[in-house]
Amino acid sequence: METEKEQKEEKQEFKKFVLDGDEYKTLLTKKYLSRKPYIVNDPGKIISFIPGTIIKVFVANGQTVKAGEKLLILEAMKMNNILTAPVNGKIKKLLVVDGDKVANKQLLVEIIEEATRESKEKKKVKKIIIPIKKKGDRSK
Amino acid sequence: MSLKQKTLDLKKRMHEALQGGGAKAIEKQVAMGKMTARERIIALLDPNSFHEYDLFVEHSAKDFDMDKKHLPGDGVITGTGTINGYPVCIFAQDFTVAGGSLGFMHARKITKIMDHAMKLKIPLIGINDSGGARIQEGVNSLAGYGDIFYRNTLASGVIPQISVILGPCAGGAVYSPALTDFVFVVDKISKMFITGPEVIKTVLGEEISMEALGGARVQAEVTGNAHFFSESEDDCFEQIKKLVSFIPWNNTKKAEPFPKKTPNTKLYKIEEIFPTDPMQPYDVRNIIKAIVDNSDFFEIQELFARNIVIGFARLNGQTMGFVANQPLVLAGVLDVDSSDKAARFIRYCDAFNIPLVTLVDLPGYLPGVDQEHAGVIRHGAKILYSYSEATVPKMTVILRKAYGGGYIAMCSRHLKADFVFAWPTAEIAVMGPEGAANIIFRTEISEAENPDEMRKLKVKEYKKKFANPYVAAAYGYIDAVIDPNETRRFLIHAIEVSSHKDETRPTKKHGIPPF
Repeated sequence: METEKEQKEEKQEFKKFVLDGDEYKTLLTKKYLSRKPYIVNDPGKIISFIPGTIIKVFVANGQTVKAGEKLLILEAMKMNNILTAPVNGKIKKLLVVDGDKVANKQLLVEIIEEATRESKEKKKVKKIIIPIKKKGDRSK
Repeated sequence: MSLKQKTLDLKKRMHEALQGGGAKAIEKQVAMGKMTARERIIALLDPNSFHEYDLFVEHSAKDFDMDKKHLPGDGVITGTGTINGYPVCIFAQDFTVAGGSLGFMHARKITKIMDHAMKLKIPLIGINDSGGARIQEGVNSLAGYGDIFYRNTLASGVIPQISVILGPCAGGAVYSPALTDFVFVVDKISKMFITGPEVIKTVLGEEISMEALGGARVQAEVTGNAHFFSESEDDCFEQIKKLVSFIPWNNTKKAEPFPKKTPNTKLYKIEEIFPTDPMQPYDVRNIIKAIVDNSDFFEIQELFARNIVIGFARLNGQTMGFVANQPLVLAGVLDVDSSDKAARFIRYCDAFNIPLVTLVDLPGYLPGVDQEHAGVIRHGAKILYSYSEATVPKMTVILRKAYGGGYIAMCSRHLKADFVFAWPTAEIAVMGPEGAANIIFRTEISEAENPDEMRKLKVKEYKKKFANPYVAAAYGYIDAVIDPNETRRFLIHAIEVSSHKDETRPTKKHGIPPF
């Protein structure tokens, strides 16, 4: 039995595995190979945080919405969760209708963020502030 | 009635109770490829050693016409017996009686045998095969689960607790096995999950089979909930018998010594198994087999987090807990899963007076966003915690690489290993040569006419100076640099001189490990 197992292992192909610049030969696990790449969070994408059912959609495609406005109700674990718009903008894609069953982390609504005066100003301010801070840090 | 008549009456009552759910239900059980609860107990325990108690217990439910139903033994069989002469308490849920569902009296039979095991200070084995809570009994069945979980927790680290999943084990029921020391599963028979495929389908519309959701293979390979996987119930019982031979009856005893045997050094030759180049893989289990009695290594969680190897083996007849990095898989790195796997095993060995042998060969912790976000800090800390906390004799052998945080974590001198040995191939350094040279000689490399050549030169220089055991040995962090073929001799001597080891810890209620 044991020798059979060993033979199997010998047949397996070793892969390169780089750590701190050193290259190791080894086997890679299914879990390691199926790890998901990191994706930067996009505030305009409304993603379900729990599997459940969409019981009410308040908005339509192309509609402008304000931050805090109700988008839809996601019923899950006997609770009605109200999902609101995180930013001011326009509904670019509405991917669900009443009664849809959704999985966890499923994209429900996509909003194009509207560049309002306030946010424009904020961005300008940020652009000015950040380099100053960095310079300050370096001088320390 | 004469005594004879009374005895005949008893026999008749017993005969009725022993039928369980009756011929039809037993037929169904067999059709599912499963043994009956009583057959299982008999197959596991020594012949004629099983003594059953609470055979005449009746359920106490009244609602929903339950008072008109008769459930023999209330769906669970309890008693005591022996395995290879070792005493054990045992219970087995009987799926043929109301689907092995857990009601008030069913739970009370289980808690009663658990209390027995605690008083007698002997291992407890639970065979799970149940449809879950008996809905008709309402909150009483929930109370039953709670009573069992509480006892599982109090018994943890006092008596060995073994769970065998031989059927469905769903919902709250899964938490009793989860609280016990070792969980055994059998392919195609064991099923464990919190919410089953039915619920997932109604909530999500997603279809998944029980097997794919929480079958034996999933529990043994992906989740790590199960410690032992086998193809058949008979193989599973053989594994349990073997496990019981390695562990003590309770936390005040040592494991029973076995006759001394030498390893099979013809089949397991260290010089043939072991490549000196730290970049090359090999199966560290073969190194363990080259060292231990009879080359017999009993591996735990063989399929889960294979980049670390844990299990029991004997040195001069005495049970040892082995923890070893596995260069064959992921170069033997520590990550979230392997840290969890090793840390729990270290705590098990410490609780049950089993000395620890650690074989070190790892490049460090696994880098990556997924690992960082999965909490490799918190999980990795468990290894440091459990090694530092352990007061059983701790022996460490550094085979090859021991870089950075990995060196500290793998039972280094600094976590109070009693003996640290190193093979001449050991490389104890703050990081791998390539990475270290790139940092230390950054300017030399970047300002050189040919940076690649300079890098190679500097890596070589670094390797020559630091990639060896002698720098650490010069500080006394290593007790001896040894010939690999002398490992067994050094380890056996270390255990012999450690037999009266007495190390105390500050008084506390309990620590706060990074769960």
